Amino acid sequence: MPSIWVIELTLKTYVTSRILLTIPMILLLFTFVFIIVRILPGDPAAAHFEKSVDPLVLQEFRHRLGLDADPFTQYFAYLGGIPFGNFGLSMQDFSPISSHIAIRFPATLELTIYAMLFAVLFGVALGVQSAKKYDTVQDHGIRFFGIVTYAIPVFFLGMILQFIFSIWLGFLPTGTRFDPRYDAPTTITGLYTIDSLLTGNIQAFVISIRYLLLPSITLGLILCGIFIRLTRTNMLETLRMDFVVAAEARGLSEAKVTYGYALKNAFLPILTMIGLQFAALLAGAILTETTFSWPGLGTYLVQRINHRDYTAIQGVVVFFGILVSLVTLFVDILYAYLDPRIRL
Amino acid sequence: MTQKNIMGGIFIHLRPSKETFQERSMKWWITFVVIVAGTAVVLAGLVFLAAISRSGIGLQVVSCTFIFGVIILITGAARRGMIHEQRLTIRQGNILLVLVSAILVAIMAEVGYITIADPVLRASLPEAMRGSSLSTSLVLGGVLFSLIILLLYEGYPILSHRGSPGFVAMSGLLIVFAIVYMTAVSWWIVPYDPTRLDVGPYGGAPSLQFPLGTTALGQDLLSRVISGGGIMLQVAIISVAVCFSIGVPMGLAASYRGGLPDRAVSLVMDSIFAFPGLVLAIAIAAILGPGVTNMAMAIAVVYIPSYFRVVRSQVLTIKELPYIEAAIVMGARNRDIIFRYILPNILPSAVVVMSINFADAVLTAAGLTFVGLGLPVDVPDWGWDLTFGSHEYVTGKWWSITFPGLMIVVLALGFTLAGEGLNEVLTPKLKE
Repeated sequence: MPSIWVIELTLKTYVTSRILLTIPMILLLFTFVFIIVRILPGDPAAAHFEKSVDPLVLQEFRHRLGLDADPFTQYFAYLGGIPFGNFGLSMQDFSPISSHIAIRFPATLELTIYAMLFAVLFGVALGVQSAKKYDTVQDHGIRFFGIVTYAIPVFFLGMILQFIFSIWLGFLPTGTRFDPRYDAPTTITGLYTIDSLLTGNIQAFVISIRYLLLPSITLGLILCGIFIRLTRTNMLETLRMDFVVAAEARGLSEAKVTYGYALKNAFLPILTMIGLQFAALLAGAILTETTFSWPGLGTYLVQRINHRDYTAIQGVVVFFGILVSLVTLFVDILYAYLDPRIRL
Repeated sequence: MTQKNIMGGIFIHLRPSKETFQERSMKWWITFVVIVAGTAVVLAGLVFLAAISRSGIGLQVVSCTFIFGVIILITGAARRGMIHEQRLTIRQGNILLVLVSAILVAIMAEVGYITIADPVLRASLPEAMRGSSLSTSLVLGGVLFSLIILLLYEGYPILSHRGSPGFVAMSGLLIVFAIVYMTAVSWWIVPYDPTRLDVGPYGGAPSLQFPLGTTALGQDLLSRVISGGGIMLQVAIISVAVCFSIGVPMGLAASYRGGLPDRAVSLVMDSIFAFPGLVLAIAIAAILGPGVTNMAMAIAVVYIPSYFRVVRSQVLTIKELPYIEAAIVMGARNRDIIFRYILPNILPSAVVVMSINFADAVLTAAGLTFVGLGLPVDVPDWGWDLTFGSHEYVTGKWWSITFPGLMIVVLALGFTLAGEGLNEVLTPKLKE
């Protein structure tokens, strides 16, 4: 059957070219970060220490971190290590940064997953409502809400929510990831909610949800504005289409028409936006984690900045860059798979 | 010459075109009433602050800028009337406006210079204020105040054609101008010296003497809130100027030329664009160290791609249009095609990006301060106050974060609203 063969070929070509395009992007980013962190400060090892130190100590320090080679050797050595998960050594205790990432990243991942879940559910619900009540007070109110959430610094929102719900009302914990009085669930994936469910530890699940609630709502609220707007625009278009009118004429319930028919068709751009917002999500996560003392990569990065640990900064930033590139790649491929128009 | 052709000045790109715009909602007049009422409340607050200011000449400073604004308004109205009666051409009218404002600026600078030269007044000023001259405050405040008045007066008929988006843009611009004005005259209207420690109790609650409370170092929070916008605005203005002046020409050149250079630059820009902005800004700021310029540069690098992408996609569309082909056929130089035929058509989108970019820059600057890459303690800065307050509010001192944080929100909101509104006003074809 020739037609299927053509589609398969184009999809394959698209995926291949998309992957090939990702490689130079990651390389460029890597080079960019390398220049900023390793070359710009002159000597990052000397810049790490506040006072001048014994040259011999400094030399030893450089040697252990691999900073004594010339920039080109350093560049290729670092680049060669990345495919094997080697992101260099920390200036603090010469521990591999990848081990810190391995411990910290699940916390960040858990936070971002729940934040994105909240942002999508809340944003899409509000967007649908806004589109249904087009040009009413409700519509304008929701749009304004979307704009306001964009303008709030995420850490300020976090502090306000923390103040209201933990300090003033005392409902929820102020920060960190788990109640220190209980044992954390056995590490399987590193995501506490999933681990506790896998081990059947309901108590741990409830505790981790309680600790997750405020940070993920904070981060989700900041991101939901873009989903409100996107859903609203797409729903406005879709609700005017013939098949929606036809569904209404057949006497289907309003909820069924809105969510079952219209939203289903308006959902593809929202799916893409989830992938595109991943970078913003990570950036927001850094500040949210710092506000809630969440033991993720963001707090690690901030902590390393305050210790002027340039190798660790470089490692985490490169990790973030690769992560975002891969997620974008994945979303693009998924989108191409779901929407045949993009392949043509 | 009809009314819509004589609009010039700052609204040069905002000429109303009723044909393309379809009125969506009649609720815009509520917005207008809210805008005017809000402006009036802000101005009343400023006058009150000026009256109780510790410098003693706050009221004079504020009233000087008021007079400045009124004179510009009268000149503007006269100019418009004379153009309407065809006693002046538009160009002559604009020259008249520029001349009058130049004369006013000179007078203000002179007044400021004479007053600041007064040894008695000079000696009574706090240490930090001697550096900031009165002339700067007067000139900047006067110009901004006249901008506010012009926006309300000249903007109204133009923006009302555009319905609610016009008023959204206007309210956003008004918020921004009001904050910039407040910052410009801040040193002369603060009740206490914002840089001085222990003027009041440590972490005192709001009271009659300190309406917004005091910080943990005993600084008056009201004074710091009034004067704290300076750093944010400086960082935002520098970074946006750098972004704009690099991103737009690069986008123009790369996409007009096309081919391999275009692809290479696009790839670089795409890879920066895909990166989480704050992470990159943090890395750059951590290397460059603290300081206004360094912070601005860190933010600028992150946001250049957004200009580049918008300009590039616009140029790629415009390049194919028949009038460009016609210009090429008629032998126009590349320079003319780019600057006279393409640039004016991409500027509106660039302005929209710029406005959103301002909000992003403010938020990123606040974020950088929050992770510890901000400025030293004695400089009044909302970001710093908010960061410092984050150690305080756990003990129930809600005022330590609420007021500086709200100011950041209001400033970012102003820029966002302006961007939202301008987006629909300037690029109507993108709408629905």
